[in-house]
Amino acid sequence: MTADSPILLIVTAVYFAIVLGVAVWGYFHTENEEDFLAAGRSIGPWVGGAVLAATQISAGTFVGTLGRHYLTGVSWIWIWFGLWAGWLVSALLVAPKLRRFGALTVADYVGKRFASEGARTLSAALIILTYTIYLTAQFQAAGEIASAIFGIPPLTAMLALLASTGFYTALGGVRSSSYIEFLQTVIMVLALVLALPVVISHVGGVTALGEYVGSIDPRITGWWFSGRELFAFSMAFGLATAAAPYEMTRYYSMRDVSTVRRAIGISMVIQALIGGSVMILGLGMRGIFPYLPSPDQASSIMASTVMSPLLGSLFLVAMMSAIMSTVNSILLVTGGAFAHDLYKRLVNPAATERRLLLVNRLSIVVLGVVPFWFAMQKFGDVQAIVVEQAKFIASFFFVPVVLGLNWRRGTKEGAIWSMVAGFAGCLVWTFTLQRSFARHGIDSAAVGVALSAITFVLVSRATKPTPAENLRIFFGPEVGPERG
Amino acid sequence: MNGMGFGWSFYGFFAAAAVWMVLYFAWALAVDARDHRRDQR
Repeated sequence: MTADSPILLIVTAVYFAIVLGVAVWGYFHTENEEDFLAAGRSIGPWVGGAVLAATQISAGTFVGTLGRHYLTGVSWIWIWFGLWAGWLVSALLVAPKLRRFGALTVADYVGKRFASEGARTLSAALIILTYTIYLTAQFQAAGEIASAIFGIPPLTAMLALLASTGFYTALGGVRSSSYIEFLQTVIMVLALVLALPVVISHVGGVTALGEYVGSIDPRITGWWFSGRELFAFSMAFGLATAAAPYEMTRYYSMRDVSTVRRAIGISMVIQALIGGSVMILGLGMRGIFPYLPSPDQASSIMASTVMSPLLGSLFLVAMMSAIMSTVNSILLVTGGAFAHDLYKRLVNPAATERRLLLVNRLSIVVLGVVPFWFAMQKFGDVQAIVVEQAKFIASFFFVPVVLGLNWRRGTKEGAIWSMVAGFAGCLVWTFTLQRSFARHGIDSAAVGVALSAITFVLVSRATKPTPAENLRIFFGPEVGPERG
Repeated sequence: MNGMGFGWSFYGFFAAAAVWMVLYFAWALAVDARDHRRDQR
């Protein structure tokens, strides 16, 4: 299959036509900032679950994770339980309180809970910084995939990603993005599940596949990674998931607390389907092509040579969807953080709804261009950037969110210094002792979160408690907008 | 697991994931029912 394959062109054209149509529909149903950033609190459990899954599944899953299963076999699959533990923490301790609060951005929560504009500004700035790095990985992945499969220059592919995703995100906000992500999730699940029988039949069935790849290296069918390594990776992903701003903002868009809980469950089921399929496809590709020059090539070679043109086209659109859905969610969070938390609070507090909508849309475009430049510089490989940003998010945000929502005594000084300590601790450990991780087994995310937690407790104990009216929203009787 | 191609790391994942999902939904539905009863009081 080539870039000018008629089937691929038709499948891609239909996909973009639907995406554009939904974005235009969203534009005409967006009248104010609550519509743009929270879809008017109208999202139900099925669309909500698909949104949470689409946000979680990124270029890293289709390229990096599939490649990791290709190289190391089965055992990487167990890190999903770390992610799901993060979702469980969110469902138990974070999501219900955030949804009852019913704000628009994550920094809204920080500002209200800790009665501090300083904490709000710091959290918005850290979110923009970290997610700009995350966006870099997504742009880089788009460039690498297009280059590997079609020989398209990475710059062209990155420009196309920025233009298409930036356009539909800026046009319809969270409302149309949610329905587009539902479509993208359906495409991802369909492509992966339909690919399973094709790949498995190529290698003569599951048992034959296991026997063959096990003969290459027994660790492929057993345990390539030690329990300690799996635990460290799982913990980093789980901590980041429990307090991931791009997931948390989506809770605000759902109808009510019950919808949020069900959406998280549906999202985990979708993730299990996707994760299990990616594992089997990675193993299958090892069976078909045992010695590819790079594991990251497994998914693109599978789409272009193993599958039929129609299924291969669907798989490529699914890869595109994985990247677009993540880019879209990040742009919504960073754009909202800039427009709602920085511009409205610090620059123009008297801004009208019309002006705020415009600034939200412009921020999305501008904040999409910055990581585009970083991606051109290629500072690291895709999977490494995805993992590192997750560790930083966990380090500065897990404690103010999870402890902040469940421990009344936390103060604004505690929140600010815990974010600074967590971020700095993760940064220093990453560039020093992380290199000898194999010896000590202590990951930078664990260090960041531990430092952040200790700082939060000690500083909060030594400073003045948060005013009761701010705490009542999170610890007292249920208040806040809730519909449905 | 001899004769099945893969070991516990493979089949165990699917079994554990299924148990996890069932327990999660049982909890979520129980909490919904509790909240519903409380709202009706």
